Amino acid sequence: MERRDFLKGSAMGAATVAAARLTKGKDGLALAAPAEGAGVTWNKAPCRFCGTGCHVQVGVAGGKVVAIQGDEKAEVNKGLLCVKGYHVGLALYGKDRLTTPLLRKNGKLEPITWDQAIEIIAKRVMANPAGFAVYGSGQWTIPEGYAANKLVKAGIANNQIDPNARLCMASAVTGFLSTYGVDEPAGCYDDLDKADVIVLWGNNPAEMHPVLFSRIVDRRSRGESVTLIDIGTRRTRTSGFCQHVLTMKPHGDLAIALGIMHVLIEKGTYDKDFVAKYCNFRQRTDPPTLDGKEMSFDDWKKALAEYTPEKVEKLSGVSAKDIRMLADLFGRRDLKITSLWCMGMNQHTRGTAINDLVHGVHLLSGHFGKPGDAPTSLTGQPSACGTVREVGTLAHGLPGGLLVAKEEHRKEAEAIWNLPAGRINGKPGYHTVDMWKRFSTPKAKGGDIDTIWVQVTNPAQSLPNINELVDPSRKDPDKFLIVSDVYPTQTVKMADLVLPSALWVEKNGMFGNSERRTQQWFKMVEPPGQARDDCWQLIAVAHKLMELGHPGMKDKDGKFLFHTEKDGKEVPIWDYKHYYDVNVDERLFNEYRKFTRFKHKDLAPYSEYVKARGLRWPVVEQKDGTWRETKFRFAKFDDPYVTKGDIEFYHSVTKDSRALIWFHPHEQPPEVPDAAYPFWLCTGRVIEHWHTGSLTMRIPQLHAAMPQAYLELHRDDAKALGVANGEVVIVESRRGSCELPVWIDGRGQPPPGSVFVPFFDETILINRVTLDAHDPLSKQPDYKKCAVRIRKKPAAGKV
Amino acid sequence: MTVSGLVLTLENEAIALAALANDSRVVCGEAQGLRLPVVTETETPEEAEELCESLARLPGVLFVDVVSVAFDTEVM
Ligand code: SF4
Repeated sequence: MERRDFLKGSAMGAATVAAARLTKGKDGLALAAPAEGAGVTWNKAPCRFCGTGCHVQVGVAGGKVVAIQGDEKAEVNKGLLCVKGYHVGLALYGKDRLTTPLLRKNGKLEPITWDQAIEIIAKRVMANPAGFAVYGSGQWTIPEGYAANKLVKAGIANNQIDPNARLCMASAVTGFLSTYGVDEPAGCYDDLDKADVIVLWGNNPAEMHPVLFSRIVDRRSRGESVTLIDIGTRRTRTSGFCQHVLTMKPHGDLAIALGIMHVLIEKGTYDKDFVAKYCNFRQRTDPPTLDGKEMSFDDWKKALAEYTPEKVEKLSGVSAKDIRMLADLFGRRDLKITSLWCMGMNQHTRGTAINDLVHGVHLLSGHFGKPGDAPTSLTGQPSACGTVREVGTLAHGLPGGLLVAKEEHRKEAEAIWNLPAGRINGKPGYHTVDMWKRFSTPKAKGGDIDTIWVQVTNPAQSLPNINELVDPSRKDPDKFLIVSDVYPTQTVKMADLVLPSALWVEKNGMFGNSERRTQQWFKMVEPPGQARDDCWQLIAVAHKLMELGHPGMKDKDGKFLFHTEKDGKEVPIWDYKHYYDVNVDERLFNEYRKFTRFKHKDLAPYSEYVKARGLRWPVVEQKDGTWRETKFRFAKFDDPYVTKGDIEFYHSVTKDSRALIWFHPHEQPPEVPDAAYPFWLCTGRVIEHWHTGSLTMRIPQLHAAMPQAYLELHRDDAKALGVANGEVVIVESRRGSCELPVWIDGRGQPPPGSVFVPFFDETILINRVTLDAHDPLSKQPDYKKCAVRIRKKPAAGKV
Repeated sequence: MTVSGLVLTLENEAIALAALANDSRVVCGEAQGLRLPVVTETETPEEAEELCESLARLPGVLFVDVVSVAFDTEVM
């Protein structure tokens, strides 16, 4: 059979199974794997892009990825993919892959050897261990993040590691911690199949999590009824599918949540039994903490009293009638309600507060703990949950939800890592904005971070206010920027040392998606040139540090921190020739999973993930030796750790198995439009491009579909400014400016006085304009609101 | 040559099938209720993308979901 016929047959088979599955739902369908043949071998991997965590089948022929198919066996996507997912294979084959280490000499990046590169990094650490930081990513694989965390926390022992996920989901973490005492959603995607009502809080899943959204919309085409409610600051592609579109003022979400709770109390429609059995009440302290201050239910009700629907209408811009409509839905016990959110609620200077309040709405109304009844945050990156939240690659974290500041947690970690007592530093490192501020501040003025090693992320495009957080460091000879990446991104172009990395199926890997699902894949093709695994790079630096005499690189028995044996002999995994002599991922993962018991985030042995399309934690061993995943945490019918009652919050902040319902007042954002800067600016993503576009802008089809960033502008504002579609405007804030064409009545439609710009385009850096103000607890910056002015770009020659 | 596997969600099967019959790049499979599996074969990936978008605009078609894409240069 010719390969073309084979691929056509294979495509038709996959489409037929997907069609049957979509029509009939999950039941009664045979699971099909793509047929082997015509020189194409298939293997599973999660998609490299968003936190939905779809599985693909990757077709490889002649050492190259040649085909991508949605994985029929994957529960997440049931064989479907979005436009990014089905082009994911092409992300490997951009023409400008980095293939050799590069060092900046006299202003130019010049090739050097790997040995030289590794030695340069190790010497930077040796010269000033306290000033060395690692800036990582929710795109790190789980073993990569674990190795980086171990290098920094067990080895260098300065805790200077933080990830880009700080920018996208840190407020969701603090919201879960302050409400339930433990991170990550209780529910899972199965809720989307069961909910009668889905409330989207500042969320645009039609573009950001398209396969999840099609899973919801699909229920309608099967004749099921599901009400979609869109609460946001602009109309998006999602809005068109929603029965209710509630356009709010920026920060209006706080008032809306308070208004819903007010009406539930006023009408007595809250779930009295659920509240009496499972909830306590809390208010914030100054400075804010995750524990807050105790509050009686009566005092909590008094605090809510002022948030009448009429007052909320003034604060939020959403009508009192719609606030009552939302409250009436939450007041009904016969409906199942799921809330979804992502950056809209997290990139918020009151991010922890709004996360707390949305959990509070669900707890107060008892819409919790049954399939379809859940408050669920989504993540933007494929392993923001797996690598950042679970592995703890944050400046204050240790693996498995442990904290560096807690002595008993440090002791547990030291025992697992076989470290001498007291090795782990109890002082948290700097969070992302602080780390980069210090890197961009001269040493003499307190800038105590002098080297940052960036892996798998592009901060020179994605950090807010890059004029202040990144640019000054590039003019300071004391500061040294190391970047591991696959393409010459904006950050690579500014780097002092560049390391070429392997990407996705060019290496073994594991991700953890938004629904607590841990996924595994094997290396399928070789990386180009001298590109190498990020995990190997970290281990090679650790070994070089040991050779140079760094005391932290050995455990208490004098063995290398990443000591690996096979058949009783040490395998030199720091030497790339031997890196794949053993499965390093498997070794690191099986060590890491020892941490996951403490907070009941149990992971199964690596071998179980090889067999599965991901498993949702806690994954608990059964009497017969099999491993069972958990779909619904804290609920007796599914969670093996619930020992009393139908619902048990077994990591409760108040240590009485109850969750916390918080009161947080509505507050204005730190910067609001005024006479000088009269517009709101919101930034975000588009369906074609993934985050800073470093991969998707190199995929010709995606580049062609969306080649350039733009500014969405309301028709009335365009008229007042005298600009037409496609004309270039200058958007300016108090921090910086950029130029870009306007799009009127485009894909997204902001209300008058508000504009939107996506951040995927490295030629139009909107983060020169954004604000680095952040939530006081989560330290997550607010990319969704700052004040700007807009003017038409003068014609050449005019000022 | 680019080969894509798609699932079309139909509003009206007869109208959609009539519209699809005009395009030799599209091969239809057996409909599963209102879901029609199809395979498209185009000269370039860009054309595949355009075709996919135009299918979504055809009378009788509600959505197009993409299931697979093969971009094997050796079959081009
Ligand atoms: S929805 Fe996300 S994970 Fe799924 S295919 Fe698209 S980009 Fe990949």
